[in-house]
Amino acid sequence: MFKKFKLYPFLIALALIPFLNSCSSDDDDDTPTAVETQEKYTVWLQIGSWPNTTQYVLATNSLTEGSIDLTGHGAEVTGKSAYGIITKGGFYYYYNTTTGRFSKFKYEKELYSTVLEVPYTHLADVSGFTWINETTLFVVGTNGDQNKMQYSVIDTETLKMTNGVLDAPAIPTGFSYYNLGNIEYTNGKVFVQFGYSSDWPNPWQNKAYIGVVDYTTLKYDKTLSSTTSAGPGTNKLWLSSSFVDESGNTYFATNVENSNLSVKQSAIYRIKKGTTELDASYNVNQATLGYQGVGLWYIGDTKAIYKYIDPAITGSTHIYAFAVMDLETGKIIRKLSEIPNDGDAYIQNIIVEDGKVYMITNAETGKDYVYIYDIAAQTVKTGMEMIGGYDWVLRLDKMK
Amino acid sequence: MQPGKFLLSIFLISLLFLGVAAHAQTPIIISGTVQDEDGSTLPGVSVTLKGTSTGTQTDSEGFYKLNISKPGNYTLTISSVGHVTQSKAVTLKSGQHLKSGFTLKSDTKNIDEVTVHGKTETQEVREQAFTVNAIETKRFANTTSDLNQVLNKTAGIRVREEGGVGSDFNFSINGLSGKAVKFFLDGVPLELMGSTMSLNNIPVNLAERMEVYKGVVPVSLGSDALGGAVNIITNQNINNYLDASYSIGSFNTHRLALNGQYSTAKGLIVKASAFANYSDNNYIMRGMEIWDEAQYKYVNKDFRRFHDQYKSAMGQLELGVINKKWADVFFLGFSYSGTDQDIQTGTRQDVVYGAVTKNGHAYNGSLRYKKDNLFIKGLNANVFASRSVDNYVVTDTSSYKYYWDGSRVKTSLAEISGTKTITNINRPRTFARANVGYQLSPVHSFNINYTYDHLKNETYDELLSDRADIPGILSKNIIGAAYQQNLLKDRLTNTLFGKFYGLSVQQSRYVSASGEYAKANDSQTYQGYGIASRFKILPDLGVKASFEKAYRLQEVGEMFGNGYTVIANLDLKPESSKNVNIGAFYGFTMNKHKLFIEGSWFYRNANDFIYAVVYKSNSSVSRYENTSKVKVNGLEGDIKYNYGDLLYFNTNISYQNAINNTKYSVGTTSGIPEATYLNKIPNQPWLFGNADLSIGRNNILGKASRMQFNLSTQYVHWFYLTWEAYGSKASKSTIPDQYVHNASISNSWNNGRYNLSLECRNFTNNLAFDNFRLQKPGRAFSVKMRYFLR
Repeated sequence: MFKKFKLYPFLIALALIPFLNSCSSDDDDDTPTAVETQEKYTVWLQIGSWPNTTQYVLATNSLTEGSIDLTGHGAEVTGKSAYGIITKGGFYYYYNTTTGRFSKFKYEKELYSTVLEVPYTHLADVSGFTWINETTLFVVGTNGDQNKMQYSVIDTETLKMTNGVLDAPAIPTGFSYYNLGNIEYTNGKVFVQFGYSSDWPNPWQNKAYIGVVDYTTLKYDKTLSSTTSAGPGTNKLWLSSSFVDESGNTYFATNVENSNLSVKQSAIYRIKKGTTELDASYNVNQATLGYQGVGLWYIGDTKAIYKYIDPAITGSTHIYAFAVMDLETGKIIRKLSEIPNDGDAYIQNIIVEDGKVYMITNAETGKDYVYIYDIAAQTVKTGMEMIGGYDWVLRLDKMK
Repeated sequence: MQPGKFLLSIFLISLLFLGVAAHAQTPIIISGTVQDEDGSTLPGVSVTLKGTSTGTQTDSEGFYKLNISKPGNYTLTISSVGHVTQSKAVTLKSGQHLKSGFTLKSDTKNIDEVTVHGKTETQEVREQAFTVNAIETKRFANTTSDLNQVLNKTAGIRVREEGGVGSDFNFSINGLSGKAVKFFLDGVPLELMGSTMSLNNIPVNLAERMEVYKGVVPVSLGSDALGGAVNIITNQNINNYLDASYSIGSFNTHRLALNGQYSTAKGLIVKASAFANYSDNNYIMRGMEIWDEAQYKYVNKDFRRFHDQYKSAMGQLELGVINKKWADVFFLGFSYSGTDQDIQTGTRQDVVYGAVTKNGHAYNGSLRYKKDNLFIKGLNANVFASRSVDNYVVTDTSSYKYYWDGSRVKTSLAEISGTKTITNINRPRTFARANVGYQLSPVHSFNINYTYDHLKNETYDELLSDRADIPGILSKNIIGAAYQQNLLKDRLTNTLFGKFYGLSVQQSRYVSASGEYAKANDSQTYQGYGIASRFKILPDLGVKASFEKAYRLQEVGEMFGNGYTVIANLDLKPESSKNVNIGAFYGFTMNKHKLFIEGSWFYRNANDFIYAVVYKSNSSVSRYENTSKVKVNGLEGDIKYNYGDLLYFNTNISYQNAINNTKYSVGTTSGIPEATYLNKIPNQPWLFGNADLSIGRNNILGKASRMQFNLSTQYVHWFYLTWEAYGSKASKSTIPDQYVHNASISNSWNNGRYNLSLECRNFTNNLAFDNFRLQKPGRAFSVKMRYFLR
């Protein structure tokens, strides 16, 4: 009797839930329940030998302990999106060039689902992206012939876009293409790093450029250049090498690994807060760094993780090592030798949270872990284990 | 003139010529049908002219035909085990065509002693020691099938098509596919006829029968066939004949086929074969996503394919002599083949192309010679030589992105790879084959086969260059030797064989440091070997077992790359496999009932599969590597049943379990096995079956006519696109179950001379997928008219 009495109101309430939900969802897109069930972090993994390689995304709520295993878990992403992808606020944004769509995905509770997608063909590909605010994405790329610098401003709620062409300097004689990469937004300006290239295997032009674009007018203002190093840096879809620090200074690194230049020189450039010039007093290059760099991530307090080519390694593809560098001095202050060398440069593998850096790498031997670098203590320890012998650990993302 | 029109003209002219010629002949001919008391036709019955060396056997329809050179009085003897032998005196005059049918009485006494009956050639092939599918194509002659569709109905074979007529396909034998399977036409590589000649466009009427060797391949097909080989055998009959057909069907599909032979009284023979295919392939794609701006979302709609036109044509003419003192067979031949094809989709149907085209043409000149009892009795020689030029072009220069409704958006990008290309591939090729067989005694026989294959591969992008800077040259020398023993009165047959593979590759390589080209050479040798045995426990019950260590040699591009985007790998090994088959067959004949059952277990342990590997995730450079190992275990069974010529039923089922045997992936020396080690290979059908039913009656629509109704069903069990164990079940992509049912009705008049058939493929209009998100055609109708003169 007592049980029945309790059950009735419960059942009525249960029956009403769908109605309540459907009433509220009309005027409120952001249902709080959906956000709460999403896991905190995601890892992208690849398994299988060619041609049966498959990529998966898998979630976890803790990177510090425990393990994850793909067996029966995670969602296939192969065919939906590549691991070169944009993420913010729990969503992924991806331009599928083969189908001509710009898509918004969400990974939650073992499913990688499409939230919204629209036809999109304005860019040949996304060569770089930056966030103007929480819901405005600025992407750059070239046209199909790679001889125009183009952009789209995307409202990530509706995927409505404003498309245009940037009036960048013409391609110099002897070169055929724009190469775009690093892009940062700060203080009303969009900085776009670029270079010029020709048909493979001809080398790049041995010069790096940064175009300054006024965001309000979307006009290309001017071009900064340097011959210390060359090229556009990297595409943050795959690998970071630029950022704006907490004091508003912008840093741009170069990556000349695939430049085919006979002499490859790395450099890091700085644009001080409020200016639109390269900081002439800032001379950070291969001589100060000691190594040829491929990637750069800001971890706070003028420190950054520097991913570089370790020339001591021969006979292996695992040549990419990690170190902590001081942005002020341009010197490596601690090599992260506890973290195995990575087998690929283009892995978006670092997140920073609460004074700790969480990193993944593709080790040549041994188990796969999330490595945790404590910024203050300067210590490295292993966190969550990725069980199972995966070919590639492709990226690590913070969802919320 | 377009190749299609050109071929059509040739076809029609040849048709006229051969038609007239076939009627104009004047040699003496005796022909007729042999049947038993119940009216069922009798295949394999021996028909001889007493006192002469002239003789033949009845074909699968009980038909025989003898060409006689001199007029005179003869005795015709008709004999078949299990039947009472009959003789008939005949007087033959010059130019006479005598028609003489026979009805043989059962010899009960004979049957009591031993149940032996006439066996067709295909049945004899099935009973040999090798595991082989022998398919008589006559049953399909009145259908619109191409060879792929016929082979796809047999055990252990799975053809995965990407679309309609002429679409790309993947052919697998017992779980091994792609370059592991080699195709032959009368024992020589089909590729010699050009890359445009393929199983998906050769009409069934051009083949007399087909043999599919599974895993273990006889030395006479001298090739590096890792997983098996398909040998298409054309009509080798020395009699004049003409087989001409035309069909028209759904999606504006037209097919023409011509095949014929004419011999002069002096023994000069002209053989001609030709075909032409045309299709718009504009079948409906169901539920395609298309953007709806008003609703601001993608919606699903049905659309017709709009860029999938396919044209192909082939013509071959052979001139030669037979039964000369110096040659049993000597022919010179010339062939042309061409295709012109639009490409509609990428590897998935949501990647829509609207301008990509592929076209090619090939020329081939050949010589073949055969002489039995050369120098000494029992020494038989067979030589083939050919020179061919094969060219094809893939044009991808569109600046637009296309959608299923046919609309397009300017992108200034090409459709396939983004970069505009006109890829030209030229492949001049010289091929020679010599085969010598020696029958020492009824017990011992030997066979030696040598093939020489020289292929130049020139690939270049017409937009960048007008020639290939770094052509690759590949030569293969393959020697095979076999010894066969027939023991215990032919009940036990053992074939031991060895194969020697000599490979030599040459290519200039771009040296990026100096900017020059350096010549690179390499040569390698490999040895394969095998054994095939068959033991007949009873005359119609046998067991067989075979084994081969087989290879698939490296290609030039795989070893040397192209110098810049594909880098060289001189350490590349050939793909190799250890293949085992164990099987049994049983035949049973009682009165009109005829049953044949066969089943086998197969095992493949394949290593070093070669695939291009992209080293760095975002790099433009790749390299061919020996990436993976696969182990396949499987079972297949086939049952054939006939009741006289009234009913035919065939069903087969194949199961294969392919396991990834790659412990560590390329580039890792890690002690932890790769996650997918010992997992089932994904994206591969593993359970499939077929059923075929024919019912036929004679003389329904007039005397000497036959009406036949065919029903066939194909089933493929659903399978995962990716690794079964990984990822949540809800997120996994699958290729759904496939049921395709076909029906046809045909009638032939005048003993098979005039034929008319109606066919409906996929009559239930089921959605059919061989590949993930690549819809195949729905319901399709066709009408076929065929004229067959013999």
